[in-house]
Amino acid sequence: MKKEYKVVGKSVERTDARPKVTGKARYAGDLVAPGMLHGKILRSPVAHANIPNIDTSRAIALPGVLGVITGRDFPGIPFGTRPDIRDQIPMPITKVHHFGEGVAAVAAIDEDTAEEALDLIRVDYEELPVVLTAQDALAAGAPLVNEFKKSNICYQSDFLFGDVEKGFAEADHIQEQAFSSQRVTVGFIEPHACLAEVDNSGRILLQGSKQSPYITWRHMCRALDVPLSSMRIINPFVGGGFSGKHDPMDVDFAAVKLAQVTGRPVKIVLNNGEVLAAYRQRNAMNARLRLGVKKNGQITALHAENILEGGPISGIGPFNIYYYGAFLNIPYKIPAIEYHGKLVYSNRAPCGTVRGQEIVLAQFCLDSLLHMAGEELGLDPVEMRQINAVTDNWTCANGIKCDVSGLPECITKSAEKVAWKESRKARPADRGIGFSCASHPSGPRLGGHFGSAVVLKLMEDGKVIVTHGGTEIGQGANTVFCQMAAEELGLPYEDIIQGVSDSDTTIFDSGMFGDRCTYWDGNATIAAAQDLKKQLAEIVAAELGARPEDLEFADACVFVRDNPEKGMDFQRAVRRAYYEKGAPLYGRGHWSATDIDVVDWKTGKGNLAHGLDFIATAIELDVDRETGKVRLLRGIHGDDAGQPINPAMLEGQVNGGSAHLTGQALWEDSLYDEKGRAINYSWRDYKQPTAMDVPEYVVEHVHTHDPYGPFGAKGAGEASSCSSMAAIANGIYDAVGVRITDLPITAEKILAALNAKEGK
Amino acid sequence: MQIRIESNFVITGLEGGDGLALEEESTLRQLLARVEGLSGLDFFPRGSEVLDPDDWEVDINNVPHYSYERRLETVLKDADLVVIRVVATGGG
Repeated sequence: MKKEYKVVGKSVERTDARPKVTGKARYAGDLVAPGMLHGKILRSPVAHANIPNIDTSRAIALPGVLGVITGRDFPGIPFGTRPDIRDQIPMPITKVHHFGEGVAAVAAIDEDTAEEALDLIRVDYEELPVVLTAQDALAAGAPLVNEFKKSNICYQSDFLFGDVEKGFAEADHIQEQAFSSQRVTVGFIEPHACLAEVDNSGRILLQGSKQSPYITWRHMCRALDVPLSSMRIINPFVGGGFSGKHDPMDVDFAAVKLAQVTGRPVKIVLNNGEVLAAYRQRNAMNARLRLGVKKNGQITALHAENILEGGPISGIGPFNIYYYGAFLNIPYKIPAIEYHGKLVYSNRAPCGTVRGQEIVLAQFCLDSLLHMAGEELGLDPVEMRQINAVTDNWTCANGIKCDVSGLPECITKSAEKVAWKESRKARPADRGIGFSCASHPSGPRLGGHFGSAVVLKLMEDGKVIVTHGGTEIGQGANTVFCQMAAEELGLPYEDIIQGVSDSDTTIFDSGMFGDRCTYWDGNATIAAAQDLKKQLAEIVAAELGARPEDLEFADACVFVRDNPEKGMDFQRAVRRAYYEKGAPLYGRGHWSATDIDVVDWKTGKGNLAHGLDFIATAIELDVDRETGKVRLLRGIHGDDAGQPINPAMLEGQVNGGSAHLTGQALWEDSLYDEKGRAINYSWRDYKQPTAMDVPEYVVEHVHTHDPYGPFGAKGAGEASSCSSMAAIANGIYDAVGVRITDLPITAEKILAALNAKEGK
Repeated sequence: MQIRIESNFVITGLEGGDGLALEEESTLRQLLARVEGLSGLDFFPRGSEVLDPDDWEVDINNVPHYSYERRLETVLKDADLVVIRVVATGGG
């Protein structure tokens, strides 16, 4: 019988809703400290140059300036996600690698003085030829971008699973296509900001806008050459991350170094122009895919090649190029797959990734190609997806194991809701419907630090404080952990309080990425609640004349199972612990998918993650043949996120992911001139979708129960970003019969294709 | 002598998977130095004398190298299996 939950599955108010909407939430830029200085960063006006000399003497002499630093003030130790790809230092020492790279930083008594001091710093630039594209990077004699590497190939990922040759031989039709995509920025609303302090012992405190404070902590301690214990990180409210705030930025390093140099707290708050020009973007893709299918649409084999152009550092790029290939294996059943991926350096802005990681790009290619093959074979796109959809207990060619798949039902629901069959009988001119499916892991296990830990502190008044290793970046993680703790402890949601994310008291997760928090920290939350209940039960069991294991917790009471009259209220139980025993009650829980194989980077083999969430997206749109403009009308998402913990927030995540990627699909483009200088780095010139641009969204929940997920939940928030771009591309084809494979699918490209098609 | 090498990542210069031929009585440190020379990897950054366990796991015949009395100075034998695993900080 399905268990009735009291808090889980309810759209309770977010823990952070009121402070955010009333403006009381304190973000990094709001922080102040006694004696605080303001920092500013001088940025390179060129994309690639040697910097033989930086003269800071005039800046440091300016009244009100207390510190000026450059890359030479750091130990020069490279950092990076893996020891074989460490290729980044806090600030450049010998050369600049991209437009807007920070070359020096100033701390002064106010922002104006700091700005003035920047103008007094003289940097000698000896310009070098630039590498802007994958083709540039791989050209014979191309200038080397990264001084720590002897090649512009940053990382390669190759794998072969199944008999690809046989798969293509058995295919009735082979569809091949090249795809490409543009650079896009991440698009969070809070620019990078931090406040750094150094105490009398030299210990560093950094409070910054970080998505993955653990990664920042590890990398910064390495690059600063200090042990982890010499640095403390506290995360204030964070205004969005979308994978753009994982690693430490020059803003973090500069604030810390200036605090060390001046002995005063230093705050640096970037503006949006700086972020758009010089900080994390999504890789540009150059891919070619070949798909073999039977007459009935069943996929027999896939061959894929992809080169990602990723800027001057590796960052998390090796994961990006691996993920692109790994997630071509799902959400469709592909028996054989061959993949060759390269990540190359360039002199454009550094890449991290953007929501959905590079699974977004893989899925754009795969689902576009599937649709094209279906068109050639005269197959219905819905039926073709149903034939190939991953089902329960499916193991992909690369080892990814799917325990529970709601994908077939997601496809059915989205097709019904969008009235697919009816649309084939009659529809307005130039109107179309596009489908795409996607799957996203609930937090992959890639090696290294990958566990999640939660501590619940039971207060004397019966309230519980949750501290967890994940990060609340706006997605609602804190709320779902409070819901889960309340459910497991049998307490009202209001009795659970979210604590501070502080490296001194919190065991940080490896990061907030890949839809992992709900799943991993959620399981850890349940374990912590069970630990807390066990401790409390041992304290009150004798008084209740029962064994501890026979006690239950519900409705803010502790009672003997099957004998609810024999019990006490939770508050009294807590007082027994504190007043009579003096026992501090901390529930501790941890979770890690230890049964998951860590990825073998050489072969690409690995089952990666539990809790694969699925989505089938249908987007209805129309195209103006006169202008090429696309108008999105409706977006239907059949979504399997297991048991929804908070349905309203889940819908927000699904719709948000889809809306976010609408921009990359249709118009977003971080532009550079021929010298690698960013062109459109303001919100006036760089357009992201607003409420005016997105359609009416409908989320059709497909309730499944994930056997490993907390309360049966899966991750959520990124699958819809993976499905939306192909759905739009397929919808445009359905509307007007033109296929654009080079993102973004701008009105100009559509118009040109229409004109070409009509022989104009 | 021939030392078998396995890894969880591609080591430049050892893509063929045949391992390395070393002189008799070579130590694990000498083997790693050879791998460094082939691949450009840096097992001992900034003059470190030991492997950073945050970065690398190196086993000899499926036993962690630090379990051997002489650790990096352990003398290898023909057909020994050395496994080199890279440790990632996290995902993304």
